Amino acid sequence: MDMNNKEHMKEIENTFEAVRDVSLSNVERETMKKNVRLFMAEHPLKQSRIQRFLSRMRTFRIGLTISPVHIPHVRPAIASLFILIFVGASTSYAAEMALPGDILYPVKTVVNENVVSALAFSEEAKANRSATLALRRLEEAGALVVKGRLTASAREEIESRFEKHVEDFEMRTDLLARQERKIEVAVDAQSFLEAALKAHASALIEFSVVRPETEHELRSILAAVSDRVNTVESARTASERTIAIKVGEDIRERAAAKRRTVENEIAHSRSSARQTKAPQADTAVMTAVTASQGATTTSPAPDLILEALNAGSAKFEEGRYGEAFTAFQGALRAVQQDKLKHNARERLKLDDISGLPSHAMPQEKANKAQGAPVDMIQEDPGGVE
Amino acid sequence: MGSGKSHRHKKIEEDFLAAYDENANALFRHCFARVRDRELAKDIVQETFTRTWEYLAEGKQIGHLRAFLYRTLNNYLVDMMRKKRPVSLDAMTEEDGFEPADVPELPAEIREEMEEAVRLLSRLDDMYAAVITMRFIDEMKPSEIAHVLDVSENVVSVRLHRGVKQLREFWKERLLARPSTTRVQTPSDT
Repeated sequence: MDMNNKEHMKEIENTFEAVRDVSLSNVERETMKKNVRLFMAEHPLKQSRIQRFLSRMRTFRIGLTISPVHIPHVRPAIASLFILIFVGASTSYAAEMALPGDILYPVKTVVNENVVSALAFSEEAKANRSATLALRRLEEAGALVVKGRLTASAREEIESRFEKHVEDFEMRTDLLARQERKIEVAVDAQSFLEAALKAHASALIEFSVVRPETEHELRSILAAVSDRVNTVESARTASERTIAIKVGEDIRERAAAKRRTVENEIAHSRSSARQTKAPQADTAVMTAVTASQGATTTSPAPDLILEALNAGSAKFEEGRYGEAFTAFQGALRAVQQDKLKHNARERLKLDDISGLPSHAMPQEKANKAQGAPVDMIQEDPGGVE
Repeated sequence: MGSGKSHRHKKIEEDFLAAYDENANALFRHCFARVRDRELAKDIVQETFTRTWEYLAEGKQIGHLRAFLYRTLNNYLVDMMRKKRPVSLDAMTEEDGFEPADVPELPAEIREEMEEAVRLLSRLDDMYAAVITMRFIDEMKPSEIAHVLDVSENVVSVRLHRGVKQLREFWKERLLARPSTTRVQTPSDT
């Protein structure tokens, strides 16, 4: 907040201070109290059968309107278990599909997700769980915008939960990155979340381009995602700088394992593309064609992925295993981003709406997408230095 | 209220009247800041208490009475504003809408500041006006606001942040609109 804003806030607060002095006069307060007492006399208390039953329950107090279940002094995990039993397995299952604004949504977020999170013990598992939940919020935003139900309150709900999950993720990966033997685990998680956030944002931007009326609805969510992409990316880069100077057998093995993962992912991606035979299936190949023609692309080109892979292999041969690891990680991130973007587009039914796969988006629309509120949709070069 | 009442009923009545003594002024202040009319604010506060009592009279339980009162008040205000919306709050300008003149004991300077505050609030979106009033006038903590509105603390933080942002914009507009002789000097002016 700059000085100007501080001055404004001070002025605003001073202004509100004057309202704090407003009060009822004694006569007004007593007159009103008399009226309220009269009303109370006309409407005496009665006790329902449910209340008589509930009053016998000393351990738990259930307020049917104030909050669904109020259980003082009971540990959250036990409370969750209680609610799970209370709402029943079928409700819990049905809640999995609920979206913000649905009756069962609190069951999904408060019960189901907390119960599953409580089962994650290691920092790594907890970080991954937070990443999953953050991405789930973005999927919900996508589902709601497709249905035309992304209201202001749903947006706020999603944004606040999204922020909370990513903050939790960042805190946990930071802890992991401080441990010498866990830093690669931290980078792995950071790299995946970065790719996934970029993929989701890219698909949502594309959606807002083909359905311009949703641009306003998605703007704040995209801005929040953009901020988080930056923080996750910075943290990942910082962790990679530490890994890059690592030497020894341990990092050599980790780099070799990472290369195998990238090769498998690329092979898997090619095989899926061949099986579907849909024109848009091999997005990596098609994106390369588009890129070679100078058109805008929102997915990493396969030649860049291969370049990152080859750069990593060269460093590996030179014995620079730490650098090789980060290069392979970059290639993996690019493959993941491409795959996740494809999935996100499918969920948003983008091909059905626009009639065009992403790589065939007209130049004008693609340009518009690039000029959208977030600057994260450029291709990931795969960490090639 | 009859003598044949159970101990439990007596306790509820006592608690409710104690809640009246503790909260009537604060609720009135909150309401006045948002509706800009002293008589209307009194009616709404009274209605808030009678509605809350009706709820209790039906045998239902209230965990946190103060939060419930604020929530009832807020719901009532939102309903009322929604019904009034076609008239447009913008039409309630400084010339015709705000009437604190029936509070003769207030010094002119304070009255002017009050006018300013309620004008600013009236321009805010309802959802932001509620949290800004609770935070800056009722001096409630974000956790308490969250409880009243039945939303998470994060949602309250987001609303506060956006509400303050809107207020700053309105404030800047007012500064620009003021004649230069009366304009409040800011560091950027020097």
